[in-house]
Formats: sequence, C-alpha cells, structure tokens
Amino acid sequence: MRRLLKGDVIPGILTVLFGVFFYITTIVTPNLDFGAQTSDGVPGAGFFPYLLSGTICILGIFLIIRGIKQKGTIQYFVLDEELKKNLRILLLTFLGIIGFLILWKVTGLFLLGVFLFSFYLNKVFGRSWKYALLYALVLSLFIYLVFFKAFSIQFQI
Amino acid sequence: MTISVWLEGLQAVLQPSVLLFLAVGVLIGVMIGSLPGLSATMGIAIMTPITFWFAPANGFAMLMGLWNAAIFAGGLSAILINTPGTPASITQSFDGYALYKQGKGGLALGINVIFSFIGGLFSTICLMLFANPIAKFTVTFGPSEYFLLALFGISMMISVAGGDLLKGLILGAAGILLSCIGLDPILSVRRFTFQNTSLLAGISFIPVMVGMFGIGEVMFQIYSRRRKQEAAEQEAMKENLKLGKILPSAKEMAALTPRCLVAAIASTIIGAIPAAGGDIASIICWGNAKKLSRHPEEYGKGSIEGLAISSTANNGVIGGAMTTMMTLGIPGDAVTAILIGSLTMYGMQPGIKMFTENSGFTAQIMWLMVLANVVFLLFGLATAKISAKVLNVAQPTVWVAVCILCVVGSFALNNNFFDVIVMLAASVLGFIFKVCDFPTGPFILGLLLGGMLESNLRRALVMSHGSYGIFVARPISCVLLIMVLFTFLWPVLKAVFKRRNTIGQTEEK
Repeated sequence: MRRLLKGDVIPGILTVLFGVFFYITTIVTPNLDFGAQTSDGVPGAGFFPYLLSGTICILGIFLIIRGIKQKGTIQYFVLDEELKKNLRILLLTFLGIIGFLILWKVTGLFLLGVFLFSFYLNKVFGRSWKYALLYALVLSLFIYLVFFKAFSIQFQI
Repeated sequence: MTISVWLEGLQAVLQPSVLLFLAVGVLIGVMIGSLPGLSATMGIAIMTPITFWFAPANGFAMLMGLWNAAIFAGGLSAILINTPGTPASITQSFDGYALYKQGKGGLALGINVIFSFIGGLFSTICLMLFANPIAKFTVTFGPSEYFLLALFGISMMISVAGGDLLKGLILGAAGILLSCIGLDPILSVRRFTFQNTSLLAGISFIPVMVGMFGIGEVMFQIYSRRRKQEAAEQEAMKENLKLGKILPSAKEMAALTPRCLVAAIASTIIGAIPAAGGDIASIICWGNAKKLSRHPEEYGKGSIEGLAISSTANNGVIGGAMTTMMTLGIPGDAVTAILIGSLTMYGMQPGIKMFTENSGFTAQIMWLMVLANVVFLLFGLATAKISAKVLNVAQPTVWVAVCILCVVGSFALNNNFFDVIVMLAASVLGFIFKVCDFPTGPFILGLLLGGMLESNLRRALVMSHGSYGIFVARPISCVLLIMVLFTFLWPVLKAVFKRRNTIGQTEEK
C-alpha cells in the first residue's frame, strides 16, 4: 500500500479533489449554466467551469492510475537526513512569513515586521547574531528609503 | 510605425533618467543571472510591481536591462563554477568551464559577453523589422482566431514544457479554471468569488508570478539544498584560476561570427514559438553546430565555437519571444508573460493596438532592447575579471531579501493585502509543483490566457449562433486549428513512431 502511495498517486488525488471542489461549486452556484439561456448552442457562464473542472477530475484519475502503475519506482519525497533538516528550515521559514504577515496585519507596523522577519530568517539559516542584526538593519533601512520615502507607499492595511 | 515615431522613441530613451534605470536594471540583472538558482523570471517577477511606481519608460528600461543582462550573466557561473546561472546558459557550462580550466577563463567570459550581445542585437533587429507587419496582419483576426491563438499558445506550452503531457494538461486546465474566478466576461455573473469582493476582479496575475517564482522558488531551494554540492562550488570558486586575455582575436571573431549569425536566426525563430525558451534554443543550436562543425570532437571540451554558439542562442531568443508577445499577445516564455501583465498595468494591451495607439511606447521598448544589449556589452567587458566576485554571495543572503521583496512587491502593486495572500498561496502552489515535477509553464499561460480564451470562444459562438463551424470556415482559424491539433497529437505520434522503430529494430536482431 505504501508503495502505491508514492509517485503520482498523491498528486493525482489532489488533482481530483481540486477538480471535484470546483465542479461542485459550479453546480451549487446559481446562474452558472452550461449553456446560455438567450440563444441555442451559445455557452453560458458555467461552460468553462464545468468543462475544465470535469476535465481536471478525469485527468487526475489518469494520474492516479499512472501512479499505481509506477509501483513506487518514482518518488517525490525521499527523506534522507539532509532533506529532513531542510524540511525543518523550510517549515520555520514558512511560519516566519505567516508570523510576519500576522504582525503586520495586527499592529500595522510593517517596518518592524521587516526588521524582525529578516533577523529571524537569518538566524534560521544559521547566520551569526551580529550578521543577522546588521543585515536586518540594512534591509529595513533600504525598504524605508526606497518604498516609504522614494515611492511614498504607505504599508497600511 | 513611421520614421518620426522611431526617432521620437529613440530620443525618449536617451534621456538620462531612462539610461540610469537601464543601467540599474543591467546591474541587478547581472547579479540575479550570475547567481545559480536566481533566474531572470524571478528577477522580472519581483521587480515588475516595483517598476509600476516609475514612469513607463523608466520602468521598462529597468526590466529590459534586467532581462537581457540576466540571460547573458547566466553564463558567468556556467563558465566559472560549471553551474548555469539560468536554464538558458546550460550549454555554456559544457565548453565555458573547460576553457576556464585550461586557463582561458577570460576569453570564455569575453566570448560570452560579445556573442550574447550579437545574439540579442540580431533578434532585436528582427523584432524591429517584423513586429509591425505581423501586427498589421492580425487586424483581420476575429474572436475565432484569437481563441485558437490562445489555445495554440497553451497547447505549445503543454507539449513542450516539462515533457509530461498529462501533468501539463492538468496544470493548463487548472490555470484556465482559476482564470474563471471573478466576473464572467460576457454575462457578468459572479464565479467562485465566495462572497469575497477582492475576488470580483479575478486573481491578479502578477502576485501569482511573484509568489511562484519568488518565495516558491526560495522554498524549493531550501528544500532541495545540498550542502556537499554547495561546498564543491565554494571550492571551485576558491581555485581562482588565471583568467588570461578577454577579447578574442580578429581572426577568431571572423571565424565565429558567420556561424553565430546562423544560430541567431535559429534562436530568434525558436524564441518566437510559445514555450520554447533559451534553454531549448541553446541546446538545439549547440547540438546542430556540433554536427556541422569541422571540429566536433572539441565540443564539450572547451570549444570556443561551441561557447559562442550557446551565448548567441540564449540571448537570441529574447527578440523572438518579444515579437510574439507584442504582436499577438501570446507570451513566448514566463518573462514575456509577466511583461504582458506589466503592459496591462500601464493600460496597454499587446497586439495591434500596441502599434497604433501606443506606437511611441512600442518603439521605446524596442530601442530599450537595443540599448540594454549595448549597456551589458560595455558592462560585461569592463567587469569581466571582477564579475566572479558576485558568485561569493551566499544563497541564504539572497533568500531573505527575496522573501521581503516578494511581500513588498505584491502589496505595492495595488496597496492591497489580499494580493499578498494570493502571492503566498501561489508560492505554496509553486513549491508543490516543483516538488511533484509539474511544469509551471502551462499553469501560468492558462491563467494569463484563460480570459482571452473564454471570452473569444463565447464571442465567436455568439457570432455564429452556436455553430462550431466558424473555427473551420475562416482560413486563418482553420490553419490555427490544425496547428493546435498537431501540437496535441505530436507527442502521441512521436511515441507511436518510437515504439514502431523499437519493434522494427528488435525484429531485425
């Protein structure tokens, strides 16, 4: 079973789910008809959504079948020691971005967010305290001068 | 376009501010192109929202400088550390690195600059000569032609990009489906907006590109980081071999130029085909030049000719890609897809209108292409020996800046936080696509051309009262339809021929 879940099976399942989601949404949304009500044979607002979501579902099934036939010979997630370490860093980076966006949304302090986020990322990437601090300062200053002063962008949400 | 339009365009781009932005673009392009992992697409994606705040000529000067220089600079790391800076410079590492190991690194860098310039300039001249007549030809196009043109662009991208037809089809369809989000183009019915007003105008294309090629690419690089390989590259840089002379002799130039002009013609044509980018052009040109060369045995072992051909080909595609983009509105590659978004931001629509209503700006773009080539030639020759220093920048240093600039750029576009969310979602999607080996090209083209595809299909069917015969009744539509069918069927036919050959060979044995 585990062998069957390698390769294109999981991407295939995700593809089918994506297609099904849009197909169901098209069905339940009013006015998304396959054909227009005005004249015969002219497509309606639901023509492309029905056609494409249906196609994606079918292609996703093909992908699952291909994945099963591969019998685990193709693997997209081969987790060796280095990759596990990379995944940890990746997760921390992504959480950092989310944290930065939440901080910005909640406090409105964009520049502080830039400083903290760049400092945090540098530390995640294994840089020294001194380097991380200097980098964060220089980048924040650059953002301030170019975007706040030169372009007058107000990073207010 | 009249002579006066060209002259006014030239006058406009020779303004000091425009030249300054062009030079800055070249500088950024050299840095982005020479660093492995950072592509011209990523650079253009991040810089496009930022250039929106400039005057159009200044903004495009920066983008043109960045693009042309990044493609040329991809050869720097290919030559010095055997790692292509951009996909287009893959064949430059075959001969460039061997030349560097032979103590002819300076000559390799010089050839890279000079022949990238020749390729870029030649294709830009082709753009200047042929864009206007092609655009005039499109006056006869109606909805059926535009529908099939968009379909041809997507079908080419699906069959060429990545080599996996099934995954290409899935992402092409997914891109078109996501382009349906927002108001229906004919009946103005809400589709997939989920009561969110930000989705009424659809998914913004630029934030998607920024996310996919910016943070998405960074995420993939973090995920696939191989420290051993990184250490080997660092060692290669420490080796610091003698570079020697930079300029090739007059005899070498005379011998190389005619062959490279042939490569420039081929790469310009390849560039004009949707989806066929610099990597495909340089591989085709390098492979054919090897077959026709008097010294094919030298190819891959430090052939000056091989390097010159590769350098010509990778910059030669730019003019071709721009021709398709500006005349037909069909992007030749990911960069031109973003440039369509950029033109739209400035209120311009690629196609015939670029040559009638915005002819002045169109001429400026073409002159900027010429100037970008001149500037990177001068810059490249002047800094050839110190350009290796750029490669010392560590990847994490760049990753942090890219993440911040992606957030800034996607917000700055419309001062809209929702665009940042879209960018972040696209980055996750881009990462998953890369990990699961899905080609991103069809998705991008589907998203970009989905609106054109749908609105023109439905308009054509309204015109024909629902009859699909309109697509075969009109001659240009009919030709385009055959091309689309051939594009989709070609991979299947190829597989059948291959199978037959294999069976034939087995039977002979």
